Amino acid sequence: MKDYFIGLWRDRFILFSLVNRDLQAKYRRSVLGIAWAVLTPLGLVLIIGSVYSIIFGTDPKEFIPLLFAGLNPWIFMNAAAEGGTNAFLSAEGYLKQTTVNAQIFPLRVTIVNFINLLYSIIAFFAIYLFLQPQLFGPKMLLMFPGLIIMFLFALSLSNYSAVINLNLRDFQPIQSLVLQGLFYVTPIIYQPEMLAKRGFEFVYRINPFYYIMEVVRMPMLGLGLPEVSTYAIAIGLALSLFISSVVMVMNTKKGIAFKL
Amino acid sequence: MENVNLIFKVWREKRIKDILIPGDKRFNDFNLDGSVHAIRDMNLLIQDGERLAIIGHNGAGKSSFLKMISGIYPPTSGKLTVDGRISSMFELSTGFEMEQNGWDNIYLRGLMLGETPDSIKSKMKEIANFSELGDFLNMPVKYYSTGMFVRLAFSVSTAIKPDILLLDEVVGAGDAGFIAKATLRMKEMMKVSKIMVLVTHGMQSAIEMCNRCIWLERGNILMDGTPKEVTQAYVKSITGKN
Repeated sequence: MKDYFIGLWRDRFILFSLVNRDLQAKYRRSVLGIAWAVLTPLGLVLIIGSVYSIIFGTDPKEFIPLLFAGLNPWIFMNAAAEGGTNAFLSAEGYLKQTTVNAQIFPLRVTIVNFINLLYSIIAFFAIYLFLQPQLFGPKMLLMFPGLIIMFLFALSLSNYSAVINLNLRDFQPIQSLVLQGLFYVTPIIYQPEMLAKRGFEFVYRINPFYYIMEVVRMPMLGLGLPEVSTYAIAIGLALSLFISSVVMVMNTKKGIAFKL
Repeated sequence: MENVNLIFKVWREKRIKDILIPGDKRFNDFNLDGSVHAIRDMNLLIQDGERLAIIGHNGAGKSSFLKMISGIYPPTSGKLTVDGRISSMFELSTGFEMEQNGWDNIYLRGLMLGETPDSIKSKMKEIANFSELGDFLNMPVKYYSTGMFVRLAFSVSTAIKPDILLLDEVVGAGDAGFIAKATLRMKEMMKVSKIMVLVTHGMQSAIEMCNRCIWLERGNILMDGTPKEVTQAYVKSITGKN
C-alpha cells in the first residue's frame, strides 16, 4: 500500500506528462479542440432530453438537468473502467523497457476521463443556470467531496479492469456488456422513484453505482443532500474497492513485463 | 557519485512463462508446460570499469539477461543485486509516443529513465545536437525511420550519465557516421559510467568497445574472457558447424 503511493510520487512527472499528452491527442487536429469536451455531453443530453420529452412527455426543464447530472458521471466511470482494460497493454513499450511504476497507468486513464468529466460539469452548470437559476446555492459545493469519492471508485474500477484484463483478455467484452446492463438498471435516464413505485426499489438499492452517483448528483442538482447512510455506503464502497484494487495492482506489478 | 561500487551477483533460475502472444488461447495447449528457462543458475559478478559484451545465438537469453539487470524481469529465484543508476536501451520503436514529436519523446523518455523535468530540459539541447536529427525533431516520430529511432533513443539513453548502461544490439541500425560517433560516445561514457553491458551480434563492436565478453547459450555462460578470445571461439563454433 505504501509502495503504491511512493511509486506514484516517484513517477508523478511521467504521469502528468502522459495525461497531458492524452488530453492533447484527443482533440488534435480538430478545429474546435478542447471545446468538444463541453460540446459533446451537451449535445448528447439535448438529444436524449428532447426524445424523452417528446415520447414520454417529461418536462425538459426538469429532466434535462437530471439526465445531465447522471449521464456524465456515468460516462466517466464507464470510461475509466473501459480504459483500464487497456491501461497496461497500451503501456507495453514503457513497461518492457523501463522500470516505470506500473500503477501510474490505470491512474492516467482515470485522470484523463476525470478532467473530461469536469469539463462536462462546466457545461452542466451553464445550462442549469439558464434553466433553474433559483436552485443555485452553497449546498452545491458538497459536490466536491462527492467527486472525490467517485474518483476513488472509478480509479478502483480502472485498477481492477487493468489487472484482470491483463490476465484474461476476455474480460474487456464481458465488462462492456455488464456495464451496458448496469446503465439501464442504474437510475440515470429515469428517476429512482420510478423504480420504487413499481416495487423494484431493491434494484438500485443493491447497485453500488447508485450510491456513488447520488453523492455527486444530488448536490450538483441543488435539490437536497443525500442521506448520511448514502454517504457512508458510498465512502465504504469506494475505500474498500480502492484498497483491494491497490493490493491487486501491486501484486501484478512484479513481473508485469512477462504478461505483456 | 564517486567510486560507486557496482556489484551484482546473479545466482538464479528463471522461467519466462507466457512469452507467447498473450491472450491467444489457441496456443495454450502447447504453452502449458512450455515455460522458457531463459537464464539457468547463473553466477556472475560485474565490477566497476568493466565493459561487458554478451554474444550468443538468437534466443540464448541475452536480452532477458539485460532486462533482468534493469529490473524489468524479476528473477524467479536467486539473488540479484544491482548498485547504481541504470540507463537502458532495448527494442526500438516501442516506448515512443508515435503521435508526438521528437522533442516530446526525448522529454518523456528522459523522465522514464529517471530524470526530473528540470534536469531533462537542461539536457534537451545537447541530446538534440547529438542525435543530429535537426528539424525532424519537430515531426511526429511515427514518420521516423529505424535509424532515426536509434539516434533518438541512443542519444537520450547516453545523455543521462548513468552508472550502468545497458544496450541491446542497437548501434547496428545507425548509419556509418552515427556508429562512429556512438562508439566515441560510449568510450567517453566509460569515464563517467562504471559499467556497460552490450548485447551484440557484431563481433567487431564487441572487440572494439568492450573489455570483457561472455558467450551465452541456452541461458548458460559458455565462455567468459576477453572479447578477442571469446568472439574467436564463437565464430569458430559457427563456421565449424557449417
